[in-house]
Amino acid sequence: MIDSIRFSPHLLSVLAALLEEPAEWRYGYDLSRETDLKSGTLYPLLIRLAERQWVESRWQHAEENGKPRHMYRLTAAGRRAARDLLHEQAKRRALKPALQER
Amino acid sequence: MPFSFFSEHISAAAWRALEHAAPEELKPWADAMHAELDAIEAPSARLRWTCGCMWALAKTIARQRVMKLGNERPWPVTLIAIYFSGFCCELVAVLGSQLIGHKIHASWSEAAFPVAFCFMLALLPGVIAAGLWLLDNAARLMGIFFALAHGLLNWAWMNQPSVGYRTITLLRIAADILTLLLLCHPAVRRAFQQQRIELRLGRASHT
Repeated sequence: MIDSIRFSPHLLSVLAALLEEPAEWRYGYDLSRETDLKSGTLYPLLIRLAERQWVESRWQHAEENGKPRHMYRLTAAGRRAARDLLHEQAKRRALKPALQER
Repeated sequence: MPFSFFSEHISAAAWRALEHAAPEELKPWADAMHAELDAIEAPSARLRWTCGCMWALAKTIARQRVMKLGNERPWPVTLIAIYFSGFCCELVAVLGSQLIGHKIHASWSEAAFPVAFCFMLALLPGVIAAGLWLLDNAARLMGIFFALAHGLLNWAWMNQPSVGYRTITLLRIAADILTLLLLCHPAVRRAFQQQRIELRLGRASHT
């Protein structure tokens, strides 16, 4: 059985949030507030994105700002995939009203 | 006592439990989620974050276990193995109820062999289930034969005059046909092909 990641609206919102500033490292709590996703939804998505190597992570160094925190950003492959998926989503959204009018 | 006192204690207990229960490969993620607590001020939000993280880890562990199951054997094989196991349990339970309910009136010297034989037959689906779980091709062939025999028996039973339980019998025949089709499916057959064994010769030891 292949783990086919489901491209749910939650996943797309996480990818969109990470794609806003692709080079910047983001904290988990900040992503949670931005996407309005609870930790129980956000972290399974981040884990699966990391397994697919679409997201990389690192620990913030303790000397920078107190206790270390885990940070995330999209990899190059992740950025490409995110752009493609969000582009597809936008196309589908544009088609929907046209189909409904018919 | 304020809510924050309880919520902090509950959170701390939950994180200790998570550290203990999380598998090795997920411990870094558990640490990452825990580290975010310092950025959350409100006690209720910290407790919600903690509960969410426990749910996240439970979901991930369950998903990884299901994936592992699927990687090792196709899901139809898992389903059929569970079906055969259930069938075995049902047959053993029926036999057991006959013995416990004193429904066998013959003497033990006369009944011992038939009872033992019936138990062996009742265990047959369980043995097939175990073989399917281990991806043994002989078990797959036995499963096909068993499903065929069971389906034909049920068909003969249904064609008896004034027989009950027709719906259940039809469902069982349908289950047997489905089992046959799934066990004969090319993707399932491939999973039962024997793995090549690679032999590697080590260095000879010097005495």
